[in-house]
Amino acid sequence: MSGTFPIPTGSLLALGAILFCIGLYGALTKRNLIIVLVSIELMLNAANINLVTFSRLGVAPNISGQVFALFTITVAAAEIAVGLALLLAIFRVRRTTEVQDLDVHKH
Amino acid sequence: MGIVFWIVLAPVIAAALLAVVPGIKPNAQRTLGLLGSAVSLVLALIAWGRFQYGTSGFQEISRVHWFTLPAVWQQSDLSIGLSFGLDGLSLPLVLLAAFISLLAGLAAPAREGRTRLFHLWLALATAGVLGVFTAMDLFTFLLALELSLFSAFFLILQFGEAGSRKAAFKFLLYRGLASVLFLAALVGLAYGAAGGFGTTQPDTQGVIQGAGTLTFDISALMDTLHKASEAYFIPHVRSVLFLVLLLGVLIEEAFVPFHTWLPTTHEHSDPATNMLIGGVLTKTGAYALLRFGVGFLPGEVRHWGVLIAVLGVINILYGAFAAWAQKDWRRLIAFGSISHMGLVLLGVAALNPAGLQGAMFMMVSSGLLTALLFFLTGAIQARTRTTLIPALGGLSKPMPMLSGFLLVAALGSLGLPLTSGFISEIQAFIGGFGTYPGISFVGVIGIILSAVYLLYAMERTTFGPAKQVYTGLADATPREYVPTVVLTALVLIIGVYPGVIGNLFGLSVQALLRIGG
Amino acid sequence: MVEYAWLVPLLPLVAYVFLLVLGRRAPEGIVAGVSVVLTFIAFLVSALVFRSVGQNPDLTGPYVFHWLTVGSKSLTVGFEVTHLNALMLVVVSLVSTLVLLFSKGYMHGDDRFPVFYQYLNLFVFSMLALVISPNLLQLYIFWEMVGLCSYLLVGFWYFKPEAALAAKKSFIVTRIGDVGLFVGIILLFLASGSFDYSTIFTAAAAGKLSLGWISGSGLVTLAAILIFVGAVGKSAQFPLHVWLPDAMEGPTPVSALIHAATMVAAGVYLVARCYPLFQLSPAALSTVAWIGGITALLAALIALTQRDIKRVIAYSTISQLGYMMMALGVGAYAYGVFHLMTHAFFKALLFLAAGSVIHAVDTQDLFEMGGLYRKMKLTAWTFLAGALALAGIVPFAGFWSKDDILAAALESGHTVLYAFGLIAAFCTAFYIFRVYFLTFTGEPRDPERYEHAHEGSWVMTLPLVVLAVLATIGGFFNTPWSGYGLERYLFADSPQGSIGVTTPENVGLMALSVVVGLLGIGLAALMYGRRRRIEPEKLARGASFLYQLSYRKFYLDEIYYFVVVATGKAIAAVVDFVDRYIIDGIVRLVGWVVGLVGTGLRYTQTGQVQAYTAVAAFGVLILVAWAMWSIGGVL
Repeated sequence: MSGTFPIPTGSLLALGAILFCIGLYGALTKRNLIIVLVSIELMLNAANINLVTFSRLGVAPNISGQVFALFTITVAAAEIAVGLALLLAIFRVRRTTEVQDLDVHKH
Repeated sequence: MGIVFWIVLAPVIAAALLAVVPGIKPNAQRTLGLLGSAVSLVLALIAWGRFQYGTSGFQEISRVHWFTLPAVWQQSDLSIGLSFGLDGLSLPLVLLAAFISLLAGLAAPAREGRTRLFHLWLALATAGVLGVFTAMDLFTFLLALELSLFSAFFLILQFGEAGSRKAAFKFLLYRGLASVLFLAALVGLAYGAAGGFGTTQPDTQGVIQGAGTLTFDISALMDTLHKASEAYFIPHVRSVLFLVLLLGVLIEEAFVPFHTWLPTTHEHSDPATNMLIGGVLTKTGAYALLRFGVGFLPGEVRHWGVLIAVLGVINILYGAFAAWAQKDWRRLIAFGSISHMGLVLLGVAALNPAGLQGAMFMMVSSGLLTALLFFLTGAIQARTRTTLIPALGGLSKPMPMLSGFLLVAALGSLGLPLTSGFISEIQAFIGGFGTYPGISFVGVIGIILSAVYLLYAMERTTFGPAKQVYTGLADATPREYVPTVVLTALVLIIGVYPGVIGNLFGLSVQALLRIGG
Repeated sequence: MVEYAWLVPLLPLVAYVFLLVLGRRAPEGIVAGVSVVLTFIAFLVSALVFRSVGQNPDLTGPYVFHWLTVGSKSLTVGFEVTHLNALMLVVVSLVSTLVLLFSKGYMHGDDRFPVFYQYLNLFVFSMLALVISPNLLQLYIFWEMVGLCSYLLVGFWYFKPEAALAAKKSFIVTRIGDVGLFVGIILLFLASGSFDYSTIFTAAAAGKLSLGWISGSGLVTLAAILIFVGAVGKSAQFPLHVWLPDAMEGPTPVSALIHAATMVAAGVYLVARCYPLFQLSPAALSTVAWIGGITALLAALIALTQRDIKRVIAYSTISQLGYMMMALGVGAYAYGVFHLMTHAFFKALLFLAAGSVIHAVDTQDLFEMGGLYRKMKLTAWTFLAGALALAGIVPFAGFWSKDDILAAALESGHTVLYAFGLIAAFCTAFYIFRVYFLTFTGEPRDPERYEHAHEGSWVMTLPLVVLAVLATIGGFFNTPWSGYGLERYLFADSPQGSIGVTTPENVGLMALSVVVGLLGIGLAALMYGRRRRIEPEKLARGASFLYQLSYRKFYLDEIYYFVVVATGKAIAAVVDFVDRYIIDGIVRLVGWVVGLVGTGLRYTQTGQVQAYTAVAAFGVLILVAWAMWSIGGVL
């Protein structure tokens, strides 16, 4: 590991946690569906940071963590595509992207 | 694949054909449905002909293996599949179920565009009860019970009269709850038989053959549970399991105070469904009590005997008094059936050959008579548009034959000698007096009460001056004679020569008791 | 011949099946002809059986077949002939033949004539099978079957509401008694392992009857009394006598056969058949005696004032059955059976004669008759023979048997019962001659009915004549001149003669009972005869309370209605209420609560996806915290 400045595991995990919290906050509070989707991406990426961190600095360093992260990125890309498509469809019908207005399942 | 397998499967095949074959006429649909029950009946009769009276275990065994759950308990595998067999307890009930399903199918009127659905559900319900009575393992039993449950639910829901929706859901919830309790108790017992509730590990116990192996096979469970010592099966757990089973039986069999689903169901269902429910489906609980209660846990039956006997007598009297107050024939028959089944409880509690044999007789007899009563009141309803007793009267004039048969059915129900009702009653009471004389003394009041409520109803239905509105109504049609005459004949044959089914019970009842004794 | 005794019940059964096949439209002649001929053959067979039993006292045992196995016990059916039931076979088949013949005339023109004969044949079969049963179970089976036939025949005119009510009442009231018999035979079966008479009696005599919860002698007494309860119901003894007068709603031949001569005597027969058991229990015997005595007196008192000719005779039947029970109770077995036989003859006669009268004038009210002697001489004379026999006037049949009973009561020390019997005898003579005078003498009270009255055809008069002869000479079977033939015949059932007491003829007692009878007849003549000296109406007004008590049947029907029927209905109503509103109410309450909870929980469903997410996130937080805390060390 010579020549590299080791970042402490704790800092990396803290970064992940902070990202996750920001994402969660956004997903729970933002009124615009697009921002909610973006926040969900943030949470996914927080998980990716954790995966990569443990893949490199965990008890048993292992490549599979990074592979998982790649998978997540792919899945997230697909998910955002589906999400945006749904959003567009909803917008066409309801003329809104406000989360609070989408309460057809109420009671 | 033996004959019993086909007994159960024939109605399923009929149902499957009804579901998939397109474009057949209602009459052909009906014939197809009837064919299923008819094949079952014929096969059951063949099985009766081949029955080995000398052995007490299951005969004509057919097993279909489905899958194996590996290493579920103590490294032993659990085989899941269907297995069917017949013994002296199940064969009479199988015959009863096949007979009554066939007659119910015959009795069902043609329905605008729904004949197919009716016969489909009827066939499935038939397969269900046949499965219940022939099941040789717990899985088959529970599966068949569920089949009969939801098929009957749809029969009530889709073919009943006004208010049948509520009745159907009441039926479903009650009997569904009973199924859950059966599931809990039976799986618990299987688990316990494998040593799951022991204070010592089964392998150290060692002496009990089959210990440590989880099995759903009924005969194997009977053996193991009989040999299980106290240390092997914590008594409290066993008691709790028994009480759970008993509660299931009480609900399934519509015993007071868990009975209110039965009058409601009968009140809102059509005659054919009523025949099936009153004639067959209300016998599954009592069968479970005999098969699992007495078969698996005779010690518990003895321990809780007073409770069961008292419950039985309460049912006899409560059912009879409630029947007396009813204004609707169908509710009256329902309460009469509750009163009959109380006698079954008393017979089982007695835990002696006469009592158990009486209980078996009563199940068959009550099945036949309840079905006959429902058929006849249904036939009367088809003419008079009512089953309300105060609205009827003087029916002997326009329909002497129907009235005559109704009288025979009523007399059978009140236990007149030379009908099946009497021989059931006297055996159950011989058993009852043998073990619980005091409780039985109270129970015999039911004999008087059954005469009271049935003759009250008869007096207001067929006797009395002929009513203007009912003059000119037709008597029984040839198609109606078939179920009437067959059921009446069976009631009389069993009454005149009870050995015809009594011979079947003998050894099986003794086998249940020897294991108990 | 004894081994062919099964033919006796079989022949009426054949007739029944034959009529059933013929259907409801069969011609009257064939229906009646077949029934009468077959029953008459049954009578001939039973006469032969009776003779051969008498000649050969060593009876061959019961002939039985296996019927059903219960546990290790085998239940059997079959037949058995003893001296007692050989006599019964003769009596039953003879009276049946005559009644079947009489019915041809009486029921002529009825819509359901063939059905009537079906029922009657079924009854005759059941009654004969009851008599010939070798065990208590079979007896009980046919005991109920005769009850069924009674129900069907009382309710034969089903369109009459009174007939429907009476049929139901007769079945239910007798069933109360039947339950006693039912429990009795079950207890005997449990104690002895068999329903067979011989097995039970042997075990009882050896003191081997016992059950865990009751001593041997206690069991014998209990079982005997329970059996007697059955007999009380069937033989219409107090307190279960209320059904018999109402049963008079049935056609009169039915009253003659079932409700006078045969079925109601089945209770007496039962007690006689189980006599070895009763003899072991003094308590049971004295119960029988007292119930019999009370019934004899009570029914005779009620009969004094009834207006309906059939009801008078019905109460008379109850009273006479009481005499028979009393005889059995005081130990005079043979006299009870003797009276059963003579009573069957003279009471069937009285009923058929009454039927003849009713057929002629189409009313049952005594006060609408009168002067019928001029129109129906034969009926009047035969009725007179029956009345004299019933009143116990020497030398008619009833005199011998009734006098024997009274003497036995006195001899055995039952002075009070003797007094009851004597008072009842006085009343008997009075009420039956009241009927005679009101019906046949004096001026017609209803001229129109009188005009139409006429004697029936030979099918109706022939049975009257035969029965009148029997009612006149029937008593000689058991007199010094016949060497007390009947007693000796009956006692052959138990060679030691332990089966009951006999009394020497006591001329003083005989004279007393005849005088009492004559006094009764005299009083009736004074009140209702041609030269009337006493106005019955004045007497009724003078002793209004007593008159009403008798006329209203001691208010027993009303008391039963309020105490038993109303209570039962009230319980039924309460049970129904509890069922609908409490038990089902609780069920509905549970359903309602579940529904309410569901409705409440529905409001947590806001449709706001962010709210759901927040809850989920919070839940995860709790789970994580709990996991960390339980792993330990972190928090």
